[in-house]
Amino acid sequence: MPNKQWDDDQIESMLKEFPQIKDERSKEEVYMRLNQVAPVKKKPKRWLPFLVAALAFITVGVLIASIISQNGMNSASDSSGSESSKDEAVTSDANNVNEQAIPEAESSEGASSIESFGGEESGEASGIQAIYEDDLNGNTLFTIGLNENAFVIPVSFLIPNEQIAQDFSQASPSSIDMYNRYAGQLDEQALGFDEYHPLLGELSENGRVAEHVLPADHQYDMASASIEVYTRTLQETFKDMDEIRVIDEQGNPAEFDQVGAMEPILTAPEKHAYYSYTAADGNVYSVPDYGMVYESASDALAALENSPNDFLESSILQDVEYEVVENDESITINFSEPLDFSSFDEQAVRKMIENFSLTAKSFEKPVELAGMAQNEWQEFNFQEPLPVPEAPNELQWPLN
Amino acid sequence: MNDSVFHRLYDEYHQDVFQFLIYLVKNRHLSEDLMHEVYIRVFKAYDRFEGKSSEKTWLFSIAKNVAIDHFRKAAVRQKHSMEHFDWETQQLVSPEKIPEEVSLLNEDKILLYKTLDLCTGDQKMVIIMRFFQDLSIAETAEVLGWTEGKVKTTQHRAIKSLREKLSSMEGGEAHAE
Repeated sequence: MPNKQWDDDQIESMLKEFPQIKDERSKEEVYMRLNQVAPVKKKPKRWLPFLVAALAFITVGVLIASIISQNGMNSASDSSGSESSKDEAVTSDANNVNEQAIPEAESSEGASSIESFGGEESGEASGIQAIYEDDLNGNTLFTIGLNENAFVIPVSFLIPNEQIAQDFSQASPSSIDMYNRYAGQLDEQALGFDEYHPLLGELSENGRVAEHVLPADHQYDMASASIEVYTRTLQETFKDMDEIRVIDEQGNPAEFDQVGAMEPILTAPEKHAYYSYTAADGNVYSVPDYGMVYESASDALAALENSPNDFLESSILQDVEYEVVENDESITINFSEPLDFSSFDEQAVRKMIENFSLTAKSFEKPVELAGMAQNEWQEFNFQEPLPVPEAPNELQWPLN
Repeated sequence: MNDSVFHRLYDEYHQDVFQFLIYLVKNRHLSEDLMHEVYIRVFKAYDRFEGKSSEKTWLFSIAKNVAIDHFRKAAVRQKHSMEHFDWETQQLVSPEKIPEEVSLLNEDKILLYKTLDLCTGDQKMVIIMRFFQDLSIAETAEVLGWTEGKVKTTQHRAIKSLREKLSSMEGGEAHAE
């Protein structure tokens, strides 16, 4: 455009010529959205971190008790030379892990709960399953870390894309957008979890960096276990972010009791082993053992044979033994005896396969199963690597 | 929610308020979200509407507040701080592409619309209300809670500011999308 002179009258007359812009939606559409949503949002509760701290205190107490008791039995069994069938099943690959993991003693509660998960006794196991790539067709994944007894359980929802289109201005809302939209509507108690969401303060994002602005009177740092629960919850909820900055209302890194200024929380997946966690309502979830980070996938997969504590159960089918072979590209799990999945409860088999897949995924390697009676079982084709789960533990959408 | 109230408000004001929002924030989907929020606030407060102002200016004042809250949240997200957001002195810039309807206008008008982003928030608001929405001085004053004198002064300054900014651009860089 050439240089031109602008004058006030000309500007005013041009402003008067701007077009009308119409909302292209029908009246019914606008009305329906008003009726559909109007969610009753929960308000964050300030006493919740206190409850988590108390629960964590109890949980840690039970954990320590179980560790002491199992160590006691372990050393007793070592000294007496008594056998443990589970111990024997662990391959040489897993020996170093076994020194840290807690083998079940035959008389402990842990042992009975593990046994009940595999074989013919496992009929009651609930069908909480992982989400795979195909499930994402027409849906958007929403993950969130829920809490029970100060354990963080990663769960996932598939939200139909039509709902997303209705609720957001952009086609692919971030985890922060979805959290801000949906977390307040979650009825955690109805789902069998403790109340924890929505988090206090404000959550926002800038690119792949999330920011949690905390009010001065937050209590997420009430105890070290509370900080752990808070941190894990953020990591499991905002997986599409590179990091989460926890800041105070002045914009500075939040000061947490016991740890000082909070470093940005990284969300890169840690290398964990996945176990089964049975919630109070009987549902069985795949949960990483956050307390243990493994250097190799073979160590983590071998560790799956043993329950690390009384809360996390091994999902390996009863009396099944295997060996893990890992190379730079992939992992193979070789079952020692030809394994016939049809003789086990379907949900128990699925949980074992999923925990293998989720564990291998945290090492970013494909995993294959070898030594089964079948080449195919349900939707699984064992001549190929197991499908990689997109996220664990799908819960049903809609929320209400 | 009272259905008949919704139908009446929709029939009389929906398109006007929607247009006000989209000219402010540019994005259609975002305007739909904000419009939704306007209705929610309207229905929450409808029983308390005392008729001191007209229903039209009351609706516009709610839409203005919803839009300013949107800009405030965006500013907090961008600056990583909760510092005070003064919409009248700061700019109300939406980092969205211009609405399709505006993109079809001639270059001068597109440039004029984009230059609105460089004005202060109070100036942009007054221009949209007075020229795009065709609100009177009195109506604009009611929506903004100002005196009519302040509306006139702000409008005058807005036009002057637009003229100065447009003249200094000389049709150069501001054309870039």
